[in-house]
Amino acid sequence: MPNTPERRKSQSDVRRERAAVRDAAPAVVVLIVAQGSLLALDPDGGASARNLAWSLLPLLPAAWLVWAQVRSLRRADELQRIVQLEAMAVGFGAVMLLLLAAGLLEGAGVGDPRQSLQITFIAGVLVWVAALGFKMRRAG
Amino acid sequence: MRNRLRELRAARRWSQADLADRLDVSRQTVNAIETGRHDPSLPLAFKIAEVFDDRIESLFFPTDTDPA
Repeated sequence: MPNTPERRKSQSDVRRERAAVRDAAPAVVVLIVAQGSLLALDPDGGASARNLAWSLLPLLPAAWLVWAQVRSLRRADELQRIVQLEAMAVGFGAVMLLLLAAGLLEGAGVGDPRQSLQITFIAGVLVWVAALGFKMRRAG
Repeated sequence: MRNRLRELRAARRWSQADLADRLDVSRQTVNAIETGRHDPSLPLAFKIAEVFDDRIESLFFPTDTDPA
């Protein structure tokens, strides 16, 4: 869509978007590096404290992303908060449904639980983002 | 709730983004208020009234379909 004077973003939107990127971008980079190093170096699967800490390393940047999301919500204006709440509700519902499906499949002995959890996480994020985009677009 | 935002904005030759800048909200929020898809909070309604130098009750009008 062309960025005509009528459809240009407001200054407060530009300010909010820049702040959101500033908050979240370093966490995304750290998350990719942590996840990548986990895959590349492949922890040996033992239950040692070192192995446990190494495996849970991506939780730190993920928690950082949660903090960035909370800050972004605090900066949002009133309509953006409503839209975000509705999009999160849709994403949450998708995660609940997929978790239920994963549990049922595991009970039936079908599929790999680890893969099901990864699919649930990724699909939940995608549904949330898609709902957010759709609802913001509908708002104008 | 109905409102006169579009009419007053047009009279001043402001774009939705211009009004959004003055209200410190997103352009989508201005659009949603103008089209009646979003009723502003009381603080935002006061801010809108201040920007247009008018009273809230002359900017916003209740309709039969408004929630109680």
